[in-house]
Amino acid sequence: MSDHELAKRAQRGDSDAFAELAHRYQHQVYRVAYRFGGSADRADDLCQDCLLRAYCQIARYDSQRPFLPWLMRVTWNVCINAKAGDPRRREVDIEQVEPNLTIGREETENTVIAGLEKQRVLAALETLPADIRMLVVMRFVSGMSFREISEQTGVKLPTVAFRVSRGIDRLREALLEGPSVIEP
Amino acid sequence: MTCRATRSYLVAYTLGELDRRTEQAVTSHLAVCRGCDLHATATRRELAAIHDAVKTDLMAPADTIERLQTRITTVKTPLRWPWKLAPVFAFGLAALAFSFWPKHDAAISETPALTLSQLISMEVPTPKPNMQPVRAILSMKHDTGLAMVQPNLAALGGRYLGGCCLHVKGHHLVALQYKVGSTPMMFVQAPKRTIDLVGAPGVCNKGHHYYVAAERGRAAVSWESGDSRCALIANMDADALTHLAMRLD
Repeated sequence: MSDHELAKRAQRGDSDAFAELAHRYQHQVYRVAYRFGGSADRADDLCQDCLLRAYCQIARYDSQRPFLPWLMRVTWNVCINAKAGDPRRREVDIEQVEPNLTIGREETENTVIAGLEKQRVLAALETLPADIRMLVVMRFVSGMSFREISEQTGVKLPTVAFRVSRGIDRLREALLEGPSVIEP
Repeated sequence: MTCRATRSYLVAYTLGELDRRTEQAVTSHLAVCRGCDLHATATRRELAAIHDAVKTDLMAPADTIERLQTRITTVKTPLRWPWKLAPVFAFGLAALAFSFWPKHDAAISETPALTLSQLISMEVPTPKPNMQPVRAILSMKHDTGLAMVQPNLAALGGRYLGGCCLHVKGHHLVALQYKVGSTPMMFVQAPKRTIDLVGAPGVCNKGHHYYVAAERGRAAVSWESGDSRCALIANMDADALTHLAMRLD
């Protein structure tokens, strides 16, 4: 059944139809929530909140338009309005990069360096203001262009470009900081 | 394009967010500027590292939808417009609007119009002093949709006695009663179709036609005013009444 049909049924009160829609897009929402929230627990809560909010607002959804962008807009609103002071947000649960011991030493070093870079970038991402962080996440996690982000969030295109660029500059600074070479 | 401008565009260039013209300008500059090209390479590497760091292929926990469904049962059902009931609402609204709509009763329009003779012989109602012309205006507007004409009899020495709404042979009339000198006089207004002037003798004054009838010392003069028809009825000479009417409108 198409998104359009499921959404129409959900608007008529069919929660199973909405569950099917949510099942289709739960991973996209979860990934954004994960990068925004910074931890699996936080992402789980945010993902639930986003999907529940979408269910509560399904009557406002225009079923003639694609469902995912609308869901992403709801996700944006929920994440931006989530409590910034939530203590779990700071419990960064960054995916650890385990060096593969079966590969050569040079490759191992590169993998470890990449892991350290990743940790620095994610730590820097955590320090970005919520709106900039969310825009960066939408750009790199959802792969949305500036124009798509602007359309989905209602933020003007130049503002999106400026904020994402500012966020990227902060991440680049973090990337270039600290030791990048591991002594043997 | 200058080196400075080129470097300011490098992030957007690498992300593919520039418009075609600017992108071509940056590409052209990078082809001839070794320094900027090195910057572009570094930017590509850094953005790739950021992208690798931020992107994730994580999947939502397997029980996400089950837990969502549990939560859905505890939240208030979202407000939805009950489209199936739309015709009922529409009918109710239409009925409500109709009840407030000025009444142009088809039954009234189909009843035979009153003649001037009938107006003359009409029983003069007891004036209601508390019914001021303003109230009569509102009554006329509500019942017929017509704007009430306010006769300027006071300027001719008339004294307002009172007014009332009349229903004569299925027609709605508003009657205002005055006393001009010692002569009681009744000003009547009704929709055009209410008073039939066919066959009545008339005189013309300043583009207005006045139709006159007289019986047993009582006269009636009628004329058109907008969408309504007015009449002045009094126990006096038809010519004098006509002359008075001409001074009113």
